[in-house]
Amino acid sequence: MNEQHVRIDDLDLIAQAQRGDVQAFNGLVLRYQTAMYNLAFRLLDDADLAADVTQDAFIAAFQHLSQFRGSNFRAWLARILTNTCYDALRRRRRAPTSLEAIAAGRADSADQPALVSDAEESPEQFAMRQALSKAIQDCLNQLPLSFRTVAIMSDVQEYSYDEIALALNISLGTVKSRLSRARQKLRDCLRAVQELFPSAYRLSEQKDQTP
Amino acid sequence: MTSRMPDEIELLSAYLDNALPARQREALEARLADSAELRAQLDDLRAVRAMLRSTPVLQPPRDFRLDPSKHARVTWWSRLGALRLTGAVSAAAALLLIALGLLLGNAPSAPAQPVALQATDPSASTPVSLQAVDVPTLTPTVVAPAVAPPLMAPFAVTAPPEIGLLMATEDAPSDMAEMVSRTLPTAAAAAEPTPQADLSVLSAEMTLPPLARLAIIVGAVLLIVGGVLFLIATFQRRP
Repeated sequence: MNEQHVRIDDLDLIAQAQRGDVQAFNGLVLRYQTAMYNLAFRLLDDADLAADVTQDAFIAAFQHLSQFRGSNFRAWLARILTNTCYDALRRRRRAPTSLEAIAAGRADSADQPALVSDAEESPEQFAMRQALSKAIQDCLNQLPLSFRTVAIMSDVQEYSYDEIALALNISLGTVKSRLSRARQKLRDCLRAVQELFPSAYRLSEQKDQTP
Repeated sequence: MTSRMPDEIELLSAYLDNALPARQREALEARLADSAELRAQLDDLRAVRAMLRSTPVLQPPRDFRLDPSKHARVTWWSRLGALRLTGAVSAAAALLLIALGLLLGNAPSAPAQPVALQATDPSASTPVSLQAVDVPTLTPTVVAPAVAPPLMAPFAVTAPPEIGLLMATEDAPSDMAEMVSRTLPTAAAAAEPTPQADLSVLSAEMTLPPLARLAIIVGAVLLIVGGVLFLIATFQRRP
């Protein structure tokens, strides 16, 4: 999971795309679009907005590709995407509709349209998986944005600490402390709804010992 | 515990990700062996991480590949090529107009047909070729306007590309139209101060040799082509 997200053919495609080759860049888009869309969706909890933001981020990435000097394309893309997400969140905050109203409007499961039922699971299992997914998203939504970003990158998308530090332009120490704070808050939030979880995910009953 | 030191949860969290330096890891493992409470905390963090990892990967609702026709990058060399072509076309137009000036200068001033050229011609914005065709005769002093466009053209070629070409290809056709129809006296005066260069002079008559007429038409067409090329080069989507 901590493999360097640079592949030799990535570098080839990047070099071609840097010379203006859109098709080569589209090869990179195909490779990373699912990961980027999921990162945007978890950050924004809004399927449509996440799609728009992902598209914008890829366009921005193509336009600024000459600035990519590093070796980790995934982290570089994630930096552009998270910044695009932050801009979208700022715009949404300024919009007249409150976040609560938006959340209430999407109280049904329609906010995760792509969650597909597994042929082998029973309707009950599918319902539980949906409820769990929603509970996790709700707890993520309650985190301060900077904690949420680190938690999603580390624990949902399995970025290494180094990659997160690179993508968010923060120190390794900051990654560690934000992640531990995020996990504590998530633990407290999830504990409140843990009857949803399979036993493997059961949290201890003890009350929060940390401030 | 000071604020500079990572707190216990932070140590546990990093330990979970195998991100502790060896000494810290060993110290923590020793304490974990002693403390059931610490182990329970570690288990909780592990459960949280496992739950987050269990979240399904969502299928993107659409394909985010870029449309090559919209995002084709205009590279600096292709832009330069277009500009070079524009410059060449404009220079050719300038040469033709210089040739016209020489032809007119040597032309015998045998009067032929009356001039249609009016200072107040409402079609001032019409490309110069149209007017030029309609204007077979000019006064002898009108030699100056034929010289004036070449005076503009060298400026266009030597000026900084963006500005110079704009002048040469975008403004020049209308400039010429104006020069022929309205601002002629001014242009003539600027090129070579002539006391007679006024509107009454314009309505006088003179012959325009057929070669000169052809040169005007071709020169104007080239200027228009140059202008279109320049506009294409300018308004192509920038990266």
